[in-house]
Parts: sequence; structure tokens; C-alpha cells
Amino acid sequence: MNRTRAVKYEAIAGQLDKEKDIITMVSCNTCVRLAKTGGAAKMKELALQLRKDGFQVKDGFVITLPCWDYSLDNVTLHPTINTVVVMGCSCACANIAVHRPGVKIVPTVVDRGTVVEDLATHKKSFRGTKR
Amino acid sequence: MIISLRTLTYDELKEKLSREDKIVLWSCDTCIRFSGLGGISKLQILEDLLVNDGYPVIRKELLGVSCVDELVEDRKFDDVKKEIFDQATAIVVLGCEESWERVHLAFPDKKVIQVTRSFGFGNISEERGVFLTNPFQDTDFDAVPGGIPVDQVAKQSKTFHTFFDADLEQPLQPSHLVEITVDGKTILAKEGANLLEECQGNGFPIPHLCHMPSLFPTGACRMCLVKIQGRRGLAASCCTLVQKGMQVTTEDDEIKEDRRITLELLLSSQEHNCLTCVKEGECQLRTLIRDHSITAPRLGRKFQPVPLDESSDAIVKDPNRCILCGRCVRACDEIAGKHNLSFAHRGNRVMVVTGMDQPWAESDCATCMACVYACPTGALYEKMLYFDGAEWKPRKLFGQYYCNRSHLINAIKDTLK
Repeated sequence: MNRTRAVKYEAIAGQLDKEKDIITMVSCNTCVRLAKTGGAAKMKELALQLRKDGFQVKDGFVITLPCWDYSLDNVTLHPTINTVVVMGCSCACANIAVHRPGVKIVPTVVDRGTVVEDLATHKKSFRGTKR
Repeated sequence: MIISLRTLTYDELKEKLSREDKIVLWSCDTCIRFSGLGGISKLQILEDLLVNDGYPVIRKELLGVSCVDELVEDRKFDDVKKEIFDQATAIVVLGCEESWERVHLAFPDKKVIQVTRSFGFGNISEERGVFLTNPFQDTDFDAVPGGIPVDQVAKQSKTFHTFFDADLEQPLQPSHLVEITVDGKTILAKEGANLLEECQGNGFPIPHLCHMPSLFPTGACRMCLVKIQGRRGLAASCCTLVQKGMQVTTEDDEIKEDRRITLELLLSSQEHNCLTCVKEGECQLRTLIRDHSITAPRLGRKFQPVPLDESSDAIVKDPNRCILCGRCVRACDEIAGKHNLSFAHRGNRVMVVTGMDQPWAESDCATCMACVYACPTGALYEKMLYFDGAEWKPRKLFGQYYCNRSHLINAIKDTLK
């Protein structure tokens, strides 16, 4: 399971343009939801905050596995959309980049890699990724 | 998903085992399965290989998600499985390195054998296959836009993206084969194996709803009934073991009529409106109804609609489409190991419930999705939502569901060949 950590709101907002960017949000409903960095509730929170701050967030999708191309078939982008805010790991972003070329992708999480905890000693071992 | 490749050859695996070991074969049913190195079919192949070579395999253990601590730990304390794991001396893990590490931590007194190396995270595509997009820091690969195909990763890292049977010079010849007659034709089948699976494997498809190769057969749906010479009445082929000289009839007018009536009863007992069902073309009930040329329910419907349980973040339960085959209950017991689903109530009020008949979100579900993948109809499906409007209200998303993924798995298998 890919463990992720959330990017700060200011860093996400800093990558977006209030005038030019028409935004769709896509959230993974698997690893990222379990890591509490995504899912329906987190997406709503972020979408409403962005709207409150004047960003043009049009709609959002919660899909099971955005790292699979079949899952992305469920994401139909409105013709005016030019930016996707992705509550998903690097795999989700890579998949969206391949299947929705030309749109700006703004990730809201960063991969941490895998984490295994020894339940007896509570020692954790991390294995990080390159991105 | 995690991209893992095989590091051990079959001979190297055998060197790590001894013929005195009591072996449990362990597999995750998620990422590793889509990498072509795990799942129930690979467990079966590895069991056949090892048993043929004289290594005692005492259990094939399939887990929905093997990187979740609680699912792995539960194996140690499960009433049914505890005895087997107590006996086991070696566990061969068909899973990512994270899975292996968890099993190793959960069973420190056993020889836990790692057969794969994980290279990072990646994508899975129906057309392009499996790709590594974000490698681990300790690998020699760089993150490349679009990803690196797994066969290329295997080549560069001197690992294998194929399973152990690919190492053999000649295809595996299963032992204990006996002759049986199916619909007048003589075939070779494995003695003691599941009759339904052996018939299917030899080109005699038998309709079924409650049977899944990864689950213990119960004969609940009565769709797989066949005639066996010398036996009274019809036998559920999913619960029948192959015996030498068996003479089986999988289809005649009586069997067809029996199946037709079973299907009509299922149709009359619940709400099966395909137009509003997410299962689309993958519904096994609908396929059978079409195969049996049933165009409209003949029997009157006595059915009270029940509200959907949409409390979970990941799973929706629609009891109105449930045919009570029990696959989800067994998947939760056997694959998830959570025992969170069960049948409740009596007579025509019987239904599958979570926990102590509480909302899904309040139950002990680990959202491993084993039940969702097991469901043959649209009674359980993953939650996918679309939000818009000023209040950001959710709506159900109709489209490509993971639970309808059998065609994808086949397509991916083809790309991995």
C-alpha cells in the first residue's frame, strides 16, 4: 500500500490560478482514503475551501483506483476543464497525465512509500520512492 | 499498485524448502495478482508443482489485501486457521515485499520465504499492461514519464515477470489423473478435485452462481446440479469430488428445466432491474437468465424493498439484488478473515448483514473488497461518486466498476504473455 502525506493547502493553492484554471477534482478511494489524505470527505473539505478562496472548482470524482486506466474512464472532463487537482498518489497523477494529456495536474499528496510496523515493538520500517 | 517481480527460480525455491516442511502457500489477491504472480490460480499452480515434487502443502491461503496489518495478524488467531498455522513450518509468500515483511513479523517462528522483489509503484492499463512509474529509492530505476514496462524492469533487474511454471522445460503434468465420462465423452480429471472445476477445465461449462475457486464450496445456489450415474437425484457438482469411472451428465432436458425454475425463483424473490444496476454486462445472474432464454418473470413477485446501506466510504450494499449465494459471507470469512458478514433473520426475510446487523460503516470491515469481488450480482459494489453544484452533493457514478473487471484481468494477462 502506498502511504502518502498531504501537501499543505497554501502549496496547493499556490499552484492554481483563480482566473485561468477551471478545476475538476479526482480522489482515489483506496490507499489515499486509508491514509486519510483523500476520499469523499477530504475532497469536499478541499473543494469548498478552494471555492471559498475564489478558485473555480467545477466538480469532483471519487473513484476506486485511479492508477488503473479503466477507473479513469469514469472521469469525464467537462470541455472547459483545464486543471485536475488529484487527491491520489504519483501513480494516479501519472495515469491522468497519460490519459488526459494537456490538462494541468496538481497533486495534493506526496508519496511516502511503504511502511511496515512491528506490532510487538512498534518499530516502523520505511521504504521511500524516488518521486 | 505495487510492482513486484519474481526473484527466485523454481529450483531456488525448492532449495529453500525441505520435504519435511509443512508448507503454507500464501498469496495476496490485489497488486501481486495483477502482476501475474499471485492469486488463487497461481497458488494452485505452485501447489501442483510442489506436491508433484514431493513437498507437502498443507494449505493455500489467499488474503484480500496482504499489506494490512490486521488482516495478516488475524490469521494467527482465527479459530479455523490457527491450527493449520500452528502446524506449518514454512510459508511461501506470493506478495510484495511489504506483504512478506508483515507475514515474517506475524509468524517469527516460521520459515517465511520471499519470492518477489518490489520495485515501486505503478499503473495498470488494459492496453499497455503493467508499468513502473515511481520506483523505490533503493532500485536502479528512475521515474520516467509514462512508466517502464514490467518486462523491461525484469530484464534490467534480472528478475522474472512470469510465474514458476514458466521455468519448466515441459508443461506440468498433473498427477493422480483418472478417467471420467462427461456427457458421453471420456476425459482425464484429477482424482479428488472439484467436479465442476474439472468439467469446466475440460470444456464442459456448468452454470453456477455460488461457486468460486478461491472459496469453500457450499452448493447453495443449486445451479450446478448434474446427474451422476448410480446416484439418486441430482448432485451439486461444486460439492462433488472426482472419482474414477464417474459418468456425469451436465445437461439434459430435466437439468435444464431444473435450472430454469431456480433462476425464475431467484428473479421473483428480489429486485433485478438491470437498467439501474452497476454490474452491467458482468452480472452472472443476468448471463444465466439470457442463456436460459428467460425473457420475463413467470412467477409472481413477493418482495418488500429494503433500503440500501451506503454508510461505508468504499462499499455499497443493495440487499434488493442479493441472491443469498453466500459468496460474500465466505469471502469475508476465508479471504478477509474478518467474519464480518453473515446471514440474519429467517425464511423470506433472510439477508446478509454486517457485524451484528449494524450499518456497514459501524462494523468491523477492513474494506479489503473481497466481498465486492465475490458478489455475482449487483448486491455489493464499490462506491464511486460524482460531486458538483454549490453544495457539493454526491451522486452515484455509473461506469467502469472494478468489480466488473474480469475482462480487464484477461486483457492484462494477454499483455503479460
